[in-house]
Amino acid sequence: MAKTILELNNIEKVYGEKVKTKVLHGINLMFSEHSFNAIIGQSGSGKSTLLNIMGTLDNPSNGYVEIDGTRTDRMNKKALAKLRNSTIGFIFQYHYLLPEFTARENILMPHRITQDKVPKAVSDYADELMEVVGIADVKNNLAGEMSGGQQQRTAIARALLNKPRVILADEPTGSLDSETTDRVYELLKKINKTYGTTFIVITHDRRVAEKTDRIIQLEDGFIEMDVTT
Amino acid sequence: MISLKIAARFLFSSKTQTALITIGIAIGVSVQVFIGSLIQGLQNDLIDTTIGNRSQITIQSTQEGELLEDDPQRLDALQNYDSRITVVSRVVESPANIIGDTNAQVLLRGLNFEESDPIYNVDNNITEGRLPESDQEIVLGTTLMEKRNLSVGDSVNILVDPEEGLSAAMTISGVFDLGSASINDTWILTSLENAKALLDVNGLSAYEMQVDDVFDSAAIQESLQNTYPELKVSEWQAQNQDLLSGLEGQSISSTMIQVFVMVSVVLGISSVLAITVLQKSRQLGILKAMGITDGKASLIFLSEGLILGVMGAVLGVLFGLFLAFMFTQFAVNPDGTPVVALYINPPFIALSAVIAASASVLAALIPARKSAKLSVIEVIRNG
Ligand SMILES: Nc1ncnc2c1ncn2[C@@H]1O[C@H](COP(=O)(O)OP(=O)(O)OP(=O)(O)O)[C@@H](O)[C@H]1O
Ligand SMILES: [Mg+2]
Repeated sequence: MAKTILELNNIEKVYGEKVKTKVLHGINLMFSEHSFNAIIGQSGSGKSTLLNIMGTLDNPSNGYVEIDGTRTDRMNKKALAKLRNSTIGFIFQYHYLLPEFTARENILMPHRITQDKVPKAVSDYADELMEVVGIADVKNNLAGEMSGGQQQRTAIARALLNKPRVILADEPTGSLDSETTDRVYELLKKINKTYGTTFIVITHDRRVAEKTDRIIQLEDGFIEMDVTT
Repeated sequence: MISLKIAARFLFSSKTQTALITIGIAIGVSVQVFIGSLIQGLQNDLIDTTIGNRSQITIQSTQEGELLEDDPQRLDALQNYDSRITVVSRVVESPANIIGDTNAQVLLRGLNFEESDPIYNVDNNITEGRLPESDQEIVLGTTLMEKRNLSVGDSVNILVDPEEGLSAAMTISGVFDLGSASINDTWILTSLENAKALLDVNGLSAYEMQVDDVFDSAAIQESLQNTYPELKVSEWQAQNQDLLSGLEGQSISSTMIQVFVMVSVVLGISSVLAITVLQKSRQLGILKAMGITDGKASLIFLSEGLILGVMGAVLGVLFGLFLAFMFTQFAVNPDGTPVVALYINPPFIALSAVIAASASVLAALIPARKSAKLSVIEVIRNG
């Protein structure tokens, strides 16, 4: 049995002050290190809400998240910032790059926001990642001036820079065509194999989900299905 | 460092906005520099014309009309009394009359011209002839010369003591113009020795002094008075309260203008930066998801304030100096000299610039705090 890197304990999420809507109903999940997991489910079933709670971007109404054995609800803001910087990598649905910076600068940003100096090893790694995701030829373009696919691949490289142990991705290929989608997933798989990074990926694409180690299906805030292949 | 870099990039990416705020700050600073230099110039002008060529601290006998002993030791003591005292000049004076068709009331003053030169600068203000050299020589003011229809080389009879009928014939060696109608009309200057001989005295009427910074006169006067309780020490400020309150009024209005200019600059920057936080909330959300600390996120906006403030201040100082220069070129008297000689005071200008830059940072505090509070999830969800 592999070590658990991320654990959800009885997570509930309620939206609204007057009219309360419960969108997550006591979710319990454990994710093992080095695994590749897919979360599927209908629109509005609570996938994004759950992923954001896992990544400490949002707080659950009830329950708690444990990352690498530490409860995140007991961490202060500074510790959370450090956790987000070094242990977790995010890939959002709409690529979210900083448009004022070049592709390369965006990729180096997770390092630069904590340290002023960029050692050669980090700089080389950024170049390597750019080769891997195939954006080396546009690395000095401003993020705002790249195609959707290039931006998405830049975002992936950025999420990997600090060698996080977990990558949380919310429909990372949502805006890409099927051919590019396939290539991106090839890439994520390769990274999973090479660096042992744990992936938790939301997708509505069953074809993609079927190629992963485990499929978790949400429905109206409950776990409808959880299969390990 | 990264905060500064991100701040610079944010500012650079919205050039028009950046340029507008910078110009706004620059205009504020230039108004400060210009108004400040103008008012200080005016004040210096006023102070200079009022007391620049006067005794600023005067030591006399407590008894009116009584003379002081002309003691070289005392002169020496006064000259070395305080390094802020720049001039000590001995004078003996007496009311007198020029005997002629009308008896004009004048003031005969005996000076050591070398000693008194820093105060009255008679030497450089001789319009005709020269300073008295030998005994029995005097110089008169332009107005008196005209009124009495005298010319250089003429001899006049001067009556110094009507009761005893003490009088002497003096030769006019030159004419002075000390820039004041009343002085030019009433003063007759001669050497200290000549005046003593003429008045048949051996003492002094007063020691006249000037100080480095004219506003130090009160403090020095007090200290001198304590050292010489048997003498009467007076200083210009006590005798020029009107001038002082006028100057103060000017200073206050100048400060008010500067404060209001700064307040509007601060409000301007603050509101523009608040909008910037909204514009960049998406970027902030990304940075926070990446693990930037709230402190560094706030620092981005403080840095924006600093960059804008420094650029605005530098530009403003240059523009203010340019305005000042144009003013001295175009606001001129018929003879080409500027109406007001602006006083360019580097410490004041540096202070204006530093205040503007700090005010900009201060103005960025509210947006910076706002950025720290921004929740990542709002941005990610609404992206
Ligand atoms: N801020 C909010 N306030 C109120 N309700 C919200 C809020 N955010 C999400 N919800 C609701 O919570 C439920 C779950 O939303 P969530 O975004 O997690 O769904 P999802 O599974 O990611 O859907 P999709 O596939 O469309 O992205 C939805 O019914 C949504 O309307
Ligand atoms: Mg979603």
